[in-house]
Amino acid sequence: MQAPLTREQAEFGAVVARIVSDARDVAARPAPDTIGAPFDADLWSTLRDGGYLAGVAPGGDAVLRGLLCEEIGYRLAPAPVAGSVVGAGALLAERVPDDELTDAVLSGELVAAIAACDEIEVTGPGEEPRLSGVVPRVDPLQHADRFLVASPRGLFVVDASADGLERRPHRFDLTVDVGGLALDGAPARRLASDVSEANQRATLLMRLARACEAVGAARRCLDLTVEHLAVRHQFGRPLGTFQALQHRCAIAAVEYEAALSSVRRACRAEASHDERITLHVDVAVVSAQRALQVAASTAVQLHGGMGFTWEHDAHLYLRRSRAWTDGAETTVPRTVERIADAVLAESGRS
Amino acid sequence: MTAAIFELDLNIDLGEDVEEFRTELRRWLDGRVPRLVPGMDEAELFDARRRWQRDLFDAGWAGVAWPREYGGRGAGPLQQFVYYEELTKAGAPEPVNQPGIILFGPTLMALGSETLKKQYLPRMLSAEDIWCQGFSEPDAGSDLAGVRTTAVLEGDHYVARGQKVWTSWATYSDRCALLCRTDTTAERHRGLSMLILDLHQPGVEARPITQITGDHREFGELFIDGATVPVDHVAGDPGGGWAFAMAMLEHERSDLGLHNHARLQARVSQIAEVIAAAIADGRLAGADAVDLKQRLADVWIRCGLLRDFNAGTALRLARGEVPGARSSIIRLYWSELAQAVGELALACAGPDSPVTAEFAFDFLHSRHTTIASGSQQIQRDIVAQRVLGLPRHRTA
Repeated sequence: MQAPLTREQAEFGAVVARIVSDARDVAARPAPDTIGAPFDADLWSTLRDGGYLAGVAPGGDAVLRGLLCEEIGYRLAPAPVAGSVVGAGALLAERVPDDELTDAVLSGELVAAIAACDEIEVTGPGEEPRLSGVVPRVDPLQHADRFLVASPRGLFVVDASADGLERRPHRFDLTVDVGGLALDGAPARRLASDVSEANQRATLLMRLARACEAVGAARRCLDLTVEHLAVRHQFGRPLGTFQALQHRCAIAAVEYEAALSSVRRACRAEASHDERITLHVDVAVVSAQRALQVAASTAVQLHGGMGFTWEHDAHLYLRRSRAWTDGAETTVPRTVERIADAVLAESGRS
Repeated sequence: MTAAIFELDLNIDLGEDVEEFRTELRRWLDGRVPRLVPGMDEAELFDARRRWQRDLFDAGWAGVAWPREYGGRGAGPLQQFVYYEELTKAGAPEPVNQPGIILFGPTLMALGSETLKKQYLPRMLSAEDIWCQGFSEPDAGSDLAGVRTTAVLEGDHYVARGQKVWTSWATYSDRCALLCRTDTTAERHRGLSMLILDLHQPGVEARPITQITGDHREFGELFIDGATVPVDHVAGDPGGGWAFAMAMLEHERSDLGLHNHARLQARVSQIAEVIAAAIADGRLAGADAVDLKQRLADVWIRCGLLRDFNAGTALRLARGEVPGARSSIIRLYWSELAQAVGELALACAGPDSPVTAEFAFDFLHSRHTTIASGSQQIQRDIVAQRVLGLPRHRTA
């Protein structure tokens, strides 16, 4: 059982849950062959105009940020909080706090994405640089107004409407706006020099935000499944009376509770500037990933034929559970290895 | 010494008084913890643990969350959380008399008569009386309501007959919380009562059962044939035995001491040292190293989250919340983790390391965690039906 939230935190959670659930549900989705990039403009403006985004942006309340992300994950709401407000926002706040772009991203007026790449070619004069290169994973992609190109050559901003941009959306997880970005002489503005440390920090916060989303998504999988098992009858009784099905739910529930503990703990650590924050986030990422994988697989299986349809939401959660990674260098096996190395290094010393 | 990485900051403010409690306890423990000598036989080991409990009691360090009138310290669940953690970190022996202090005692406090509380609780806490839990029978394991041991009222006492089995500490015990049938005509859950049975009397025989580990330091069985129990020695209401037993099990499933993360963390820390040494001298490499490292990270993560669960439970208890069925989530989490730690210990020890015997014992012993106090399957029933709200079937 997790440490209880304060009354203010619980109230905030309830308010954002209502806002997100009032927004367009994931169920309203297009046919398989006409998928666009998911973005809920109404939800975004509600969160922006209510000051929710600015309140939880880096520098704001990290615990509330986690609660908002849990609720976004619960509905798989297409709102780029993790990528833009948290990720891009953290990078800008750290490196160019006074640039007008920074406040715009932190408050949600502009949507920005980090495009991190070690090999970017910079041409043109110093004040009018042009960028070329391929960035494998940009989040968000199609609904970003600005791309923050973070490279060893410095931090640049590229307007999304500029020439020389090619977007290559990833089509597996249908509820995130993610994909590759190719730059071919795209005009840019230089924001700062060395950004690697700030980018690491931004990535860390983004990973935590995604872990919170995954925990919310796992909870939804459980809720949908429990509801289905109560309603659906076979052999003359509710499916939910069958012990085999109950136990699959119980297993998923235990994983969910552990994952919830892990993200709440990491958010508290971030809020209190814990120097072990990377380790806390690594634990949260591994636990949340595992909980969502179990919950989403359980949801598909226990919905039977319905779970195998496009119409039912279960596949959206299944897709998220398997696609949910946070960049090439931080896959779950590598995260696990990093944790093991840390434990071994300290144990070897004692 | 456990590495610092096993104590990530929970970033929870437990309050100044709790931290003062921690400091005071550490100061008291310093130099007082008895070291158990390797090679002690089972009875010597039990005696050493019993003496340690007495030391704690005499110094006012037993029953941290128990009221002072029953010999406790009168502190709260947060102090209890800290207490178990500090005792383990100091290398203290495992607490003795758990069936009494953790299960029966707190339930008696809630449901028992004042006379019984005064008579039994302080002696329980000081380990003057050792208690066992007379629940399972040869034909009533998971189906606990099927117990057949009877107690018939004859004048001012009950006369009990039956058999209890898989009873921990039966042969060491002075008293037994005996779940038995006092009304054979009532519906099966309603005809049960919880009696306090004095084991030192004719008509009671306690025998050891050899366990999976090859020793018999815990398990036993009780043969009861005409033993008597005074009529006022019913814990709770006559006919209220089922409710009393369920309350005891909820204590067992939610107790911070039984789900001691610190004990598991100490073992994982030891495992990490074994693995680190094997990698350093080249005995462990390649696919084997990858596998063990992955499992090490896994149990390390889960130990840390169990600590978070326990802190969360303590915080909620301190706010007056009752863990109820949700304690089964922690029970499941702890039991599976304890087994994963046992498995990993065995895997990394190898056949002839100095730690092999100890690790092998733990591996075998950890199998009880998913059987005792309601099997893993019963716990999953409880989570499904009473936490998630799925429709009931027979067991939960």
